[in-house]
Amino acid sequence: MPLLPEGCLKRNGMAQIQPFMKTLSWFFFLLPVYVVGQNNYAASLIDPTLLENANAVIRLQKMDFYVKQPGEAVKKETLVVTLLNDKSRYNELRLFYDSFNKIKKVGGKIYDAQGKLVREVEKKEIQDMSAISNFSIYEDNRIRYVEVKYSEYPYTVEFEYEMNYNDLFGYPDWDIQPYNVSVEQSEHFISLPEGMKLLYKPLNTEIEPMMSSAGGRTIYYWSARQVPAIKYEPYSPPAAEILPSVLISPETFEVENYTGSMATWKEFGRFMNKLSEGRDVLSPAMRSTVAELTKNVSTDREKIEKLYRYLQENMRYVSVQLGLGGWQPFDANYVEQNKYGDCKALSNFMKAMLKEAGIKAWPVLIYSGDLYYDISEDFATNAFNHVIIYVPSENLWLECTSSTAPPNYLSSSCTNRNVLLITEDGGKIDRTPNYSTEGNFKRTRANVELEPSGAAAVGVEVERKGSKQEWYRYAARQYSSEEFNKKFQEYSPLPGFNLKELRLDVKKDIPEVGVHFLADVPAYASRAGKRLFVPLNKVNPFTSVPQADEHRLHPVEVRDGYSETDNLAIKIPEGYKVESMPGEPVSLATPYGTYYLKVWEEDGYIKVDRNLEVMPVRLAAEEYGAWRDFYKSVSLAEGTTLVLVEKKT
Amino acid sequence: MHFPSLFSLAMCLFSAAIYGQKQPMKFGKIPAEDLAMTVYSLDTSAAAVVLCDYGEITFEDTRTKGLGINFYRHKRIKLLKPSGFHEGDISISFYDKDRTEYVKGLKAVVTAPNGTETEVSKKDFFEEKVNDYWSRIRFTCPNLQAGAVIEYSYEIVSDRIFALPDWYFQEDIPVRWSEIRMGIPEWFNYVFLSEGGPFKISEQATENKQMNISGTGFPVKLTTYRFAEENLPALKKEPYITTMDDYYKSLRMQLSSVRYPNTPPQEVMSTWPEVAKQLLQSHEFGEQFQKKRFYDKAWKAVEADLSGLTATEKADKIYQFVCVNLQAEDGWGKWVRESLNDCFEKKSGRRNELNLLLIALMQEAGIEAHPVLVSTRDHGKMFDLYPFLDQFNHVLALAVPDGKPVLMDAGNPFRPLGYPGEYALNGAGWVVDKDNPQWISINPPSGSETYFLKMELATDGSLSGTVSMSSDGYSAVDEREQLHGSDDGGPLKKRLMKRFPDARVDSLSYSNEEELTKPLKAVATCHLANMATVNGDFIYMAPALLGSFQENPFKLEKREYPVDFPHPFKERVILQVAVPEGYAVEELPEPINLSLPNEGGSFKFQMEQQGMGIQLVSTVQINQLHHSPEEYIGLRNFFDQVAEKMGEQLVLKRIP
Repeated sequence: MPLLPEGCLKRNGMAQIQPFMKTLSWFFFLLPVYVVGQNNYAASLIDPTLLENANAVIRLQKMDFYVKQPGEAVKKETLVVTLLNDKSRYNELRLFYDSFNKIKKVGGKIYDAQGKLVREVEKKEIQDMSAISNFSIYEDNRIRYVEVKYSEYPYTVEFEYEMNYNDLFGYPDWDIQPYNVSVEQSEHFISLPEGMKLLYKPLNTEIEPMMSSAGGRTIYYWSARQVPAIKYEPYSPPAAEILPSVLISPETFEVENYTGSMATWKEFGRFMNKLSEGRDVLSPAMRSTVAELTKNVSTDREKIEKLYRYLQENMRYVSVQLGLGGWQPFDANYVEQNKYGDCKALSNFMKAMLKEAGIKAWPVLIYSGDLYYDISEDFATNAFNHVIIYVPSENLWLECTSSTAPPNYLSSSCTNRNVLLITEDGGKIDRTPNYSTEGNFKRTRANVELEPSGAAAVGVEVERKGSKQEWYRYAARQYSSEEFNKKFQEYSPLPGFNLKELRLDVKKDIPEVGVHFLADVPAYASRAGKRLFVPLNKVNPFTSVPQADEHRLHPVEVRDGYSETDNLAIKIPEGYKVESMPGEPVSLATPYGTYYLKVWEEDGYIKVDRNLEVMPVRLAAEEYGAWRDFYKSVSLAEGTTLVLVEKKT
Repeated sequence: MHFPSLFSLAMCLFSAAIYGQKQPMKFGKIPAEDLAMTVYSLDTSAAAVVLCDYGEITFEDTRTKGLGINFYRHKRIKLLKPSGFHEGDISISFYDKDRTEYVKGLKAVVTAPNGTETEVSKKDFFEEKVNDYWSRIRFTCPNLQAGAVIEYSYEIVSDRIFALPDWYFQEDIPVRWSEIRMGIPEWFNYVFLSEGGPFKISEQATENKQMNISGTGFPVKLTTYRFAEENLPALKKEPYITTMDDYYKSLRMQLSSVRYPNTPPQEVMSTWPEVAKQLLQSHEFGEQFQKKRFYDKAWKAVEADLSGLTATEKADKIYQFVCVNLQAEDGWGKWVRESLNDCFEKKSGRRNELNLLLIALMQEAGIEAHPVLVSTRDHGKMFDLYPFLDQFNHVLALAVPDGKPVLMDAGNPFRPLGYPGEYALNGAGWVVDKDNPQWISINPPSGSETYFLKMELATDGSLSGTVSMSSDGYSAVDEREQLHGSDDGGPLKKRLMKRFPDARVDSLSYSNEEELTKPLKAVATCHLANMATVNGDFIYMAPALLGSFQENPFKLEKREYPVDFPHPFKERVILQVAVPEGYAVEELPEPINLSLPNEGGSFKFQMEQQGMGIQLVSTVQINQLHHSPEEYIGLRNFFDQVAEKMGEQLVLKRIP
């Protein structure tokens, strides 16, 4: 559920820098001559080891990135891929472009399994369309897109294109392979005018570049051959920690007359400062609004909350990505006049208001969403897609695109990751908080008035915290009560019911939401003859057991933990008694989580107490089975059915 | 088959002078009570409401091809809650190919509840090309707050007189007033097609006018129309429907004939037989499968394989040939873009092109075959009263080998003959046959899934034995797709592992994988731990181990729209369990036999003791595809009872 506009900054697919330059084994040779030659793409020529776990085989990937000057480059890429089945999308080519970065040439060919040319892709097959993401009202991004289809696997597609860049925020990384794709040959060339420097950082590979200097140019050249596929496994760490790649950055770059450096995080931060220079000036009217809002408020913390509430109540989030690669914020006046802005503009506006109130705040570059690469201290790279605000004096984070978040609350798409603070002195790495398992909490209290027919009147109070409340907070604002009731009913684990009452209690200033509901459930229990079969916990069942995997290869990572406490009271209908229910309490204590279940009979009710704590973990592959066993044991304990039987008369 | 109604002009139009009437609103003149409104009284939960939506179509001389139309639109929206603010993101699409249409006079103003106005500045209107045909102007309204009123107006100048702009009275937010007016010169005849009509206001009048075309004045008689609706509730999308456009109240107008001064009338849309004739003569359609030079390369490739076969065998062979050799491209259409030979050579084409190739090859092989035009489920309903070609977006092939008609839809190698894609199952189709063009009902075959489990129950609560699965019809299409290229044991293993995390599958095999006309079969030997609860002297077990209806797919209390299943289906679970030694049956779930009205569906659940074993036979069957909102509650109850039965357990007791 999208609580946050993910990816509200444009990412070029290019990135990075290295603060130090490794001494390379200088390997002089003439301009790297293509040792490519191979033109026979028969599938039978693929080494069998490359077919294992592979949906596609990259026969040849050749990147030629020719930098003319810090702000201008030409990119040529040839990509030849044999598709073994329909599970990859290498039969599609997507080229993003805009007014600064233009496509010069694009073409494609299809070969059959024998390597025979079937046809060339025709010009008219290549569509030209707007690449506007659905969360954005306007961007100047466009896309050229072609998809070829062929009836029999395996077949091979070859795409070739050329692009001119005039907006050089970064250089193409060398991503050797995604999951489930093997590589026959991959060549990555970056050619620079003499004097310009390149920074790089290898990830999960030992491959070093060869370098040559000639004709006033320096060429870096990486190459890989015969790389087997790496199988994708769920619950893996961020992909960049598993897959081989080389992050590559320019030391200096230029975007529309702004020059910057990626030599260090500090330098990169300075560049970001340049982009927003002079854009935090508030109008006189706005200044007096700030004064008005903060008068009679004594502490900084309270001032921040007042101003943050003002932002949330008055400014609307829309994505507006124009110019400068989508990295320059609209100035504070723009936001004031239009009452909307994107993540950069709203953060910039918030920062300006705080400044007016005498409180220092820094913009924070962050990657929001499922993490692909967690940035590290030793290499500056533009691996971000979002901006938030940090107030150093209060150690406080502000998500400026949310109109519902409490102050200092970051949603799970932003917690627990490295980020770049843009301080006055430039960039500085920091880490967003990680809410504890107790911080992501859900307490369920349920009373089930069971009838002999199997129907039940159910009353439930749920207390939700942290990640467990995000959707409810969002829904309370986003949906009408009728819509919310419908969604609630659809997502509920209870079988079809008639909702009698549903109430949300959103705590404005802390990440907590209370949910209260009353429902008539016609088929809470199954009735058969003289017995009633009652599921142990139909209100909050645990059912998600990770898939069995006896050959786990990669570490297991669960980034966010949570905890749950349930107290249920199920009424034993008149004339019935318990025939079967769990005896001894179940108690599990593992490094992966803890679980406690106690079921007993008391005052005509079956009482269920249950505690579940799921730990964030990072485990070796060998531990996968043991880790999964924990979830399995929980699911098994939860799967118990209580049996009630008519008392003999 | 449910068709929308054709507007009967004679019956429900009231005569009135239209153009003398004043427009329902004036730009910038927002009544104080609308500005002050904080809650929409007819729907207090509404986050936004369309106060008024007004359209006006006039014929005028456009700069390009003489007579065209001007479509004026003026809309006013009241924002009530922040969740409605996205109504301030506005997009205006127009057909930009060859500048057929363009937008002029766009203005937009946001008025705050205190009356302060903010006009959207011209630089915040962004025009962009969507694809080769369409462009759009997008803008986002500034200064939004609860209580604000958004107002905008524009004109689209268009050469497209064959179809006037569609008018949707209804939206996913409430609409207080929606009105369209038009003045149509006597030279044009339009057919009006309505959904949800007749409308609250339907008026008609005539007036005389002087019209300038290319500098020459013509006296012309105009027929003016006015249609309006009031207080329409919001319509929100629900699952299991075809498309929302089928449910909004709307009006569509299509040119049927033209009669310019001093020329004989010219039928544009005339009759179904006429349309069939034209289609069959057109280069992008009929010629493709009637002129050999457009498909001869494909014919050469298949011809030799057909000798000595019966017509039925030939049809089957040709179908296989097309499915194996050509891959389906995305996108819908009726027309052939290049030629059928071109598709054959590049080994791919849109599904309609593949099906026209089927027709070409069938006919060449001496088998009667015709195209069948259809509208896919997400493209909306079809209507039979007037030959609107725009309603169709796909073509199926109908062949009649040995006198037995069969529908074909190539593009998926797992679908046998007679199984159009589920997307195309929309009730009906129109056969383009020169001599006998006609509507046919498309009554799809069903899908069926049977699980057969033969297990032994052990006193530790585990089950071991064999699980077999047999899928037929549409179910087999899905299962074969899942099985294809899967390296994790295919659909049966996946299902077992998902349902029973403790399952151990010892052997697994599939049969009839390639024989599409036979059921796909799978059999697994497995050990399922912790399937029964053993407590004291009792063993309890829920016998409905597999199947899709453990939960009711319909959880909502009521529905606004019908439920539409694409095809009938049947799911059967047969379980034979051997009772462990030393135990006897204490109690079994009672049998049940449920039916939906008019044999729309049934559920049979029968459990009995057989010697030392127990047998369960459970069958869920749905025959009726269309279930009205009134029938919904019955459908929901039906599946509730199925789910409840699936939760019942059998009880075994140790023999003392």
